[in-house]
Amino acid sequence: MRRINTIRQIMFNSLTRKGLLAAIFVATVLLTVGYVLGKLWLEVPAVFLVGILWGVCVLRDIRWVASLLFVVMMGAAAVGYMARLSHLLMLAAGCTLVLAWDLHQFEGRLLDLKEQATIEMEKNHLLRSLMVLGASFLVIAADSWLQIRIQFIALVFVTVLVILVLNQIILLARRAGKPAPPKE
Amino acid sequence: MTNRFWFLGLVIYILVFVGLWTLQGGLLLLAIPILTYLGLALYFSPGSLDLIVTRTISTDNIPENRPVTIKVTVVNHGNALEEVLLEDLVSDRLTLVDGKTRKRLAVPAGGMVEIEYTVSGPRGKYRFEGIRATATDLFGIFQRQRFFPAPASVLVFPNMTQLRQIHIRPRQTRGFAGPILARRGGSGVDFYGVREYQIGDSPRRINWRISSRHEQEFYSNEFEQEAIADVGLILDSRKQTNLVRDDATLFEYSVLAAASIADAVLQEGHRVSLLVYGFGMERVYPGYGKIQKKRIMRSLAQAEPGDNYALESLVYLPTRLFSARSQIILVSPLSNDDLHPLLRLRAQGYEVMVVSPDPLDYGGRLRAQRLGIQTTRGDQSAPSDKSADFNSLVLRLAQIERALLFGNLRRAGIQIVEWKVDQSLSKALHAVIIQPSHGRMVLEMSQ
Repeated sequence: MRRINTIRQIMFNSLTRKGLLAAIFVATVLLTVGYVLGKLWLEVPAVFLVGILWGVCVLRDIRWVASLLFVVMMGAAAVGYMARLSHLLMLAAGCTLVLAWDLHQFEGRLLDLKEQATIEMEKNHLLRSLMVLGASFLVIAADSWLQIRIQFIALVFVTVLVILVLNQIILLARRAGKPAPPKE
Repeated sequence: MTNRFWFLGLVIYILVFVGLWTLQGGLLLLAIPILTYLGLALYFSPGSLDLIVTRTISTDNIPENRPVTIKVTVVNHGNALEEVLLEDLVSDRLTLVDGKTRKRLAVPAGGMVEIEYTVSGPRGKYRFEGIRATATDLFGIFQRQRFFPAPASVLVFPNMTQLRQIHIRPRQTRGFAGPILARRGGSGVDFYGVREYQIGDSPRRINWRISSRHEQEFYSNEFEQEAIADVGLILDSRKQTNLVRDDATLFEYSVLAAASIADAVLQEGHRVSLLVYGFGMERVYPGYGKIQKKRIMRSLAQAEPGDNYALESLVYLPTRLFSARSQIILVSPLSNDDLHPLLRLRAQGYEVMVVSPDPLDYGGRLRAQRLGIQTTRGDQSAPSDKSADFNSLVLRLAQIERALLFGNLRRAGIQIVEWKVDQSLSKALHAVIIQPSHGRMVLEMSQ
């Protein structure tokens, strides 16, 4: 009973829950609109239903589906991109999906402890997520306004660079994860 | 790094791979929000954890199933932690009554956090080792974990039942006044004998009837001295005699009996010692009063049934630990091999009383309970009538064997208190031991 009350509290009062539902809604709408504009009628209900399913899972407190549905919807955005749908809509949907996935994970961590996070912590988290969203939108905007065109070789170079950067990040993170030597 | 990191990494790699494969630059762009996300997580990943943890416990010893409040104070001496999970590592046997043992929150630099909760549990010693702190960034991608010791322990004393006076009559008593008739003349209430008048005797004590028969001498009445005794309490913690199952054990009843008897005997003013005989030999040296009671309870709280090849039999019972010709109270379900060691104790001059929780009755009830559960569930593995007949025959034989053992012990002058554990211990004790006013103890033979 206590757990149900806690869940209800989080469901109706928590900033995270509101943000999560809004992010799922926005991502679904962006993807659906993109597919509608591209006149891919067969895919429209599928994308819409996946979005609805995610929302239902959030309300029903089913957490394991978050990553699966994130991959599915990200896949839908990628497919939409390849099908030459509105790039802006697909990229915006991608950004919002990352936000939704993150909020779902954060809420899961809170529900594990059966307690409400402090408003401060929720606010900070939401602020950080919005920073990601903002930074990503900047890149998207740059892409749509600047219309960068690069050769395949340059693309490979960029990709290798990305891979190297990622590797470096992993190495850095591993080094940071090691316990500090004991103080003498 | 958490699993989330690897998951997002995989999504990025897939997007990059498909983007290269299909020559779609947009797919690389799709990876950018995730990369930004990871980059921010890395930038804000937690630094080293520098916490000072202190623990306060409302009391370090409590009776069974009574709540104890534990308060853990955590002070952050390092950098601000955006999200940290503080977990107090509590034994699984303890039940959380109130509060939480885990807290996820943000702790600013120099900030203080309190974790307060109430637990209760069965008899035993519970150690609280410390706090496990897991700091993560707000996205939960990078984490740093460290254990902070904050040791403390709580002893949960065994339950006791209030017993009426236990009448014991050892052959040897101590010098101090107490409730036991000491078999020697002195100040007391019960008439002991008549002796020649000595200077200093009160004239009230002169036996005029006898003195009138003599011309020159006076004779005084002598009363039986009342003194305290040495009581050696032995708790049998051998696994072979105590029915030990995962969920229930007869040993808990043995502990309850030992605690109740120790309490009652100490209240009468006797000097009591304790020996827990099983895996090892835990000893509480003889003593009086409340402090001794606490020592005994402390020892009983930590007693566990165990196996030890060297201590399989009571033959190795160290009798020298007990005063000569004192009272020994053995709390044990007993096995057939225990007859001779007990007879030996009796032969050495000890007054021996055995309080024996009935393992057959207890085992039977446990079995019936389990069968009841199986029948309710409709389990096919429930025993057939044939095996039930066989089991009842085995039980009957075991009962006969036990009755024979008790008969032999009674014949040797050992008091036997058979205790069916679903009944009151007080009732079982006082059904057997009745002390008439003239001092000699009578054992009421129940069988």
